[in-house]
Amino acid sequence: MKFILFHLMPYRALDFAAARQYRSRWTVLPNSFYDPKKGADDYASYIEQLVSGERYGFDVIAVNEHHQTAYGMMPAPNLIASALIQRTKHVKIGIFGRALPLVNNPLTIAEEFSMLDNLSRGRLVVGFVRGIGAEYHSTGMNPAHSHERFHEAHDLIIKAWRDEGPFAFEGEHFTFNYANLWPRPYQTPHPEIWIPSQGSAETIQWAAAPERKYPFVVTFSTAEAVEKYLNAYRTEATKFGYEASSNQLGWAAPIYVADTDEQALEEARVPLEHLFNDYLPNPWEMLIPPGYSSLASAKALARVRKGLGMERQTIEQLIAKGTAIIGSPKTVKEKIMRMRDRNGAR
Amino acid sequence: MPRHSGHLFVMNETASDKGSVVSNGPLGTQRSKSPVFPSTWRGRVPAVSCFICTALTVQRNGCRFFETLSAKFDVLVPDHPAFGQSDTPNWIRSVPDLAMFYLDFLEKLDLQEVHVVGSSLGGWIAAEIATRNAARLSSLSLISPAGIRIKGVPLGDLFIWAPEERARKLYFDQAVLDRVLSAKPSEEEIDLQTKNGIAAAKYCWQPRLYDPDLEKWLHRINIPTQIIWGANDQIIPPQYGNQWQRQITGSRLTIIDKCGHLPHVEAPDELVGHLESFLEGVTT
Repeated sequence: MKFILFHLMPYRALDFAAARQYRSRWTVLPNSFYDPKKGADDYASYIEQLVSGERYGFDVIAVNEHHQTAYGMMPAPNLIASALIQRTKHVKIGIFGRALPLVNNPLTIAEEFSMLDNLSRGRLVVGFVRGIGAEYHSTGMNPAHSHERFHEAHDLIIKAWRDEGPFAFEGEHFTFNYANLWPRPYQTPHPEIWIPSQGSAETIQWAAAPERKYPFVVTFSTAEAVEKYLNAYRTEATKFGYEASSNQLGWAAPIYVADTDEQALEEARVPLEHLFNDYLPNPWEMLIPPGYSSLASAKALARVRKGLGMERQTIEQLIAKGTAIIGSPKTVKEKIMRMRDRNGAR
Repeated sequence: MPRHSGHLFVMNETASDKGSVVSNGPLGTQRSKSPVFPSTWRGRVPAVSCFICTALTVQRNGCRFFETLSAKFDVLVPDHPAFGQSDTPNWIRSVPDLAMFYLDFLEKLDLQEVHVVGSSLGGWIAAEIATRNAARLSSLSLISPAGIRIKGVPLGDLFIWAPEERARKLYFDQAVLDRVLSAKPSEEEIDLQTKNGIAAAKYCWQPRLYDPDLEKWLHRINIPTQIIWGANDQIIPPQYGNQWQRQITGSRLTIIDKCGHLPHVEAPDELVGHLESFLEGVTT
């Protein structure tokens, strides 16, 4: 089992009461809420936290990409990754992930990841995602093209990493006469690719396919959902004729440790509830813009939209459902081990 | 009142006894079916009225506008590809594609002297058709059409608003609004709304509700054209009506007071009146 220290880099000094007057903390929240002095302090502190992950023995320290939101201040996660590379020696650097459909030239993603892989001498691990629904509002990208663009951009990046350039790429959304990656990735054939997801069936099947076998990471979900989706991945792998290794199964959850359970609960309450009730929520129209999910998925989601976690959640509820793990070292260790055993990880 | 000679060309969410119209796709290898509604089509040619409606919000069953119009004209309202009961051909990807599809459609049914009536997205499609080939068209009625952009005059963001908020922006009349907000859609209707939403995003998300290459060709529209706008339209502000009127030679602009983006819902009788007098003027 491997451990990843993953940062979202929220803007901490947010005036939550005032921010709640807006429909979301994404896209429409005025950037006058952002104070650069406080934001700069946040960046410095967050980078320190991530760098300390190497000392504490984490296998990977990781960042992600989000746009126009107080939820995460990393519209360009590669910039943070580059800083982390300079300040660490051995730990792997994860970028989970870049939102492929949102860019007009996916080769820039291939290029920048190659650069980071070279700068870190092969310490890079990357993720490919579609971006969340709100980002289709903030970039103007058509959500109805999201899946097509994701797959085409993915294929282009992989080809650019694996094949000798220059080559021509003739896609529906992306067309290039010359795809010729300088630099090539440091790792052969390329950095490991993980797929963070909330568990869409299409994504699970695609990630588990034998030509990819991409590790699948269930994010911010209840213990029950994590088990369900990791099992779904295993089932897909079996159907493809192989057994999924525990290296292919991942789970991302907020974890907070203090000396005692009571202290942990008290210290984590406000920030964790802000995460789930203020930073993360989006109204339906921003969460699932039309076309972002397939018609079948959207229909299914539309019928259960009340159950999509749009209601306030308390820390007790988040703990009870296994969405977050909070407590003393002993409690947290036990819970992680239970999740490990429950999901057959090693 | 005497029945006018005229047909309505309907693409709609209810397949009718008229059945489906099939259009060849690229190279004749792919096809798209568009069910036709309602059943007031009598197959009479010429003087066909083609109503191409906005599909996001239109309720055809029990809609007074369609009922009144159907009593006076033969009416044909197809479901646009990807909307309603139509299938979703991957090769129809844009509003210009829809226009080409409908030119096939008119040809397949061999319709002549069609009066095209289009609202919102439908108006946009109608204008794209007319700039390409108006040989089978007699007139154009554009009701708060999308399709062009005036810099500095932003459109309402239909895609980000919650349903209630969207209804409040769509309708001026409180009674209409109350009716819309109190409706309890069935599961089938919710599924249909979901499908229509995806179709709307496909054609309208980016560039948002316009075609950068449409306005420069509007001068090619050389058939009688009227433009109708709700004075209180919060989706596409009435300034757009003036711009359309300026760009289409000889066109006239009519503003309907106390009316939002969908005059066929809020002012059906007045709208039918405008259509009637306009079409009479065109045909006599």
